[in-house]
Amino acid sequence: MEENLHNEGIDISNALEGDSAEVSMQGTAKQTKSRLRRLLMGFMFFFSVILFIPLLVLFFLYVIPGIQEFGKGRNSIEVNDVEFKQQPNYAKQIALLDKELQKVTKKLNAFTPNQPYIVISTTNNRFFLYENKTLVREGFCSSGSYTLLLTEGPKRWIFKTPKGKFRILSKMIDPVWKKPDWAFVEEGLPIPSADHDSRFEYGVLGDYALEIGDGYLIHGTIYKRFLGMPVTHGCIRLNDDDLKVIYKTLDFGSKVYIY
Amino acid sequence: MGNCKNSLVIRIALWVFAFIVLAFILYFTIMSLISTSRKIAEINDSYSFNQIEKTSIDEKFFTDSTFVEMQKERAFTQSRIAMAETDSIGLTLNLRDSLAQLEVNGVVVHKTKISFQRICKAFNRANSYAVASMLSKPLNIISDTATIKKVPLLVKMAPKDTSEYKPDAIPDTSSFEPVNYILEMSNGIRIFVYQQELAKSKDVYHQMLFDVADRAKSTLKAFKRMAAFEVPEYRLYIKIKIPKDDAKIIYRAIPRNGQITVFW
Repeated sequence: MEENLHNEGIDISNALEGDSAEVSMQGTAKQTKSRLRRLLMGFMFFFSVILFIPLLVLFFLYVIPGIQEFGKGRNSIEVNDVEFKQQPNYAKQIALLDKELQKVTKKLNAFTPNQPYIVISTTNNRFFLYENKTLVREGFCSSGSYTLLLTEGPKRWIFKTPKGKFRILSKMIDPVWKKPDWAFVEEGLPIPSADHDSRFEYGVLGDYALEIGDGYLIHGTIYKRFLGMPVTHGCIRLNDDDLKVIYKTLDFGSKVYIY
Repeated sequence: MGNCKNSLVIRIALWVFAFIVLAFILYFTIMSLISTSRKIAEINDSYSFNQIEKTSIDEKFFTDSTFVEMQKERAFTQSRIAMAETDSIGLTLNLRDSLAQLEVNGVVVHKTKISFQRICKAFNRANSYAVASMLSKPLNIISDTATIKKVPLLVKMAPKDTSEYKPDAIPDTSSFEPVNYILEMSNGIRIFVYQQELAKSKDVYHQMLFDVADRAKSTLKAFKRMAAFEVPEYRLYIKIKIPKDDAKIIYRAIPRNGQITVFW
């Protein structure tokens, strides 16, 4: 009996121990769950902050300017009053405006010369020759290299083709190149006197040359492989055939547009 | 107990923060909207027809679409003439025909098709006659921002003697150069020129970066003004896309303080 009770007691205590283990297991599960929840919340908070900042930036950079543009497209002030259009004063005003429009259009068109002219692009090194306001020839040329040549002294040169409107000031056949100072400095040679023999070079400018002012020329070249590239000291170089046509087409005073 | 208190404080702080952010967003949005309407009112006030000539008949003329269209065309031509008389290189933006052209002394020297164009709504919402008046004179460039150099200068030191001399090499034209730029006009108009070619991912990336940088700058400016409780400045704009080569030609051709004529 006593033994039985003892055994029962053992059973009861075992049962109690089992309960407390279950309780503690449930507690651990709860704790893990709560930890997981916290972790998840933390992650969510972190990601929402991470997402919130770029979204806020996008809002200010794109949405606000978009909102500013939001609204009615066309101005509602403009109307077409049929009755008003039938008034004699209306037709008179429109005719007056039309006349003015024609006058200003004529004035603008007068800027384009009727005489032959040449257009030179220094960015893509191409030329366009016009006669009677029509393109008659186009091709490659070479223009200034945009090189800034520095010396140890104060002297410096920049090799660029000037831009704007110019005129043909003189035309030459078999031009001779009188080398300026920079041509010697560039090669590390001493600068000779103004009329020294070494300053004169024959045949390097091609068969013709057209002067556009400030020492700038449109001339031929022996470096034909460089046509289409910015390699010159400011002059415009052309190939022999193009140069011949341009020389024959353009006259003294013909306009040269460089951009 | 202490944990509970802490969590409550954090919650309150978060709510306060969210409220501040929302209030700022709302304030920014309202101020931005006010800036647009202010700009439109400013255009209408500054450029609308003269009050002296505002008779009933005149007023009707200035609201007649045929008359306004002809006025616009005349203004554009007069503006081109004014630009031509400066003898400088100028840019003409004909948004009606989607054309961008370079002009030297009134002669069209380069022409390109605009593949994409967008003008700010303020242009459309303001009085047409006022906008035509505003654009009736050439616009002067005061500054620019670009992804390419205006003058692609190459600096070279002169050799001391012939032994140091090296003949010029063929210039390298193959390097990657995205072409996007903004021209700022004296009257506040901004002209955005983007290259139309976006075949390479590099081009897309550079264009996006350029655009974002400009937007960020503008937003910062707006923030600064708002911090001083001022209405931010609404800046009128014209955005165009043209071929990369043409964009480069135009940017390098127009002088730093060059002129632009717009036909809209």
